[in-house]
Amino acid sequence: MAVALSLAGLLCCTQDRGGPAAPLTPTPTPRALLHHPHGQVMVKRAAGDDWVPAKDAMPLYEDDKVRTTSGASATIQFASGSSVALAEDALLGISETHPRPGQDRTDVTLLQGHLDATLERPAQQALSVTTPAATVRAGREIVFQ
Amino acid sequence: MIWLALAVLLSTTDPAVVQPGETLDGVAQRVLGDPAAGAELRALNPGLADPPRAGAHLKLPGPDRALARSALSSARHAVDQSAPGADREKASAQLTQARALFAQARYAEAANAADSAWKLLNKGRDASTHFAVDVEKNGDTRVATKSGQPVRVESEGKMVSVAPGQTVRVRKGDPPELVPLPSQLVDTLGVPTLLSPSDHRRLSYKSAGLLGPVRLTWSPVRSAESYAVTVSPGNGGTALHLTSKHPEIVLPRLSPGTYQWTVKALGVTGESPLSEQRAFELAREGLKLEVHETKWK
Repeated sequence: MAVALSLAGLLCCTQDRGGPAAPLTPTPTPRALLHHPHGQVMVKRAAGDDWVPAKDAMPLYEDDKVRTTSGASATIQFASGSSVALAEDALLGISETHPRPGQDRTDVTLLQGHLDATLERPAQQALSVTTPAATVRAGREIVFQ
Repeated sequence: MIWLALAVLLSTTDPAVVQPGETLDGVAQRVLGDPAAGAELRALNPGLADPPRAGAHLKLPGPDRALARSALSSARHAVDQSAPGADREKASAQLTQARALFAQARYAEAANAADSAWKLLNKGRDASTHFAVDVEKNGDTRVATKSGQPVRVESEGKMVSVAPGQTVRVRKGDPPELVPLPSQLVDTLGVPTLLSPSDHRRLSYKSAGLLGPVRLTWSPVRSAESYAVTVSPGNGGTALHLTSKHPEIVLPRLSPGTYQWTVKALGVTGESPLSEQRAFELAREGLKLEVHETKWK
């Protein structure tokens, strides 16, 4: 009954909310920026079905995908300062939103291809890469703010 | 009635609600993916019966658990990699304390204790770290650390630390496996087995000068680039040092006498141990004298 009452109260308050419509979802924060796309580099947004050509300084959000074709390459710069150079014929996803129970969130999911990762200050930075077979962690893993 | 049905529906989908027949360890497995986290749930829910009553609503860990878990993992890794000494002992004690705090669901304190251990063992180690990841079409993965600090590779519950210069291979569904360095391959280069001639074999030749040719053979060795053959005369003379790309060699003609020979395999960066030693004897076949009747009287 308590649950029913609180749900009813929630619905009541939501319906009564006046004034201009508030945004239903907060503005997403970019997880990384894509730089120096060379050749055919494509990006698919988490909410979209289409692959669009990547542009320099393009923001990447959770669950976005990046694909390079033969001869293509791109660099992905993370907010922590670490970066990933993506080689040709690669498919990469930006940080999983909903990892399985007991599985930690990772910054990058590399599904196919090759990447070179750099942490300029590993004592202050961290980067994790998940593949279909393993999880790779570099740097401090934990960054206390 | 609708509200009641909704309430029942919520209780069955809310992960914090204990399902019939479920233990705390079972809830920990279901919600956190870790049956050992039952102790944390007990700490977070004091006074809760064990096994808990079905339908009971549990307090679950917040996001600070993941942070503390990550800090523990880093600290454990740093302790495992550190050289014995006072710092390691101190860090190890801090890690033990961090684990105890974690089990009591005191996640923020656990994270700080683990971080102290990590800091203690990583003073002044901030060189940039470079590593490469390769994923094949079947999902198999190779990870190579090029420079800086080791990276951790985890699969199937096993973690391997990959130091600069090392490579790890992970087949899908298998734990990580360190790929041997070229210098480690030397140890795996097999020892050639000598085949012919058999030991102490006597070889006769019809010749008035040097004798031969003698053909030596041995078993091929995997990963061998070539073979080094040593033939030493039994009279203490100068040994012959020869190489062959194949598991055989034809010796130059030699003086009569006894010879010992050995072979070793040569790899990209090293060599195998010497094979057993064998001997052969080179002998001149007795010349048949044919004396014809002379016409001279």
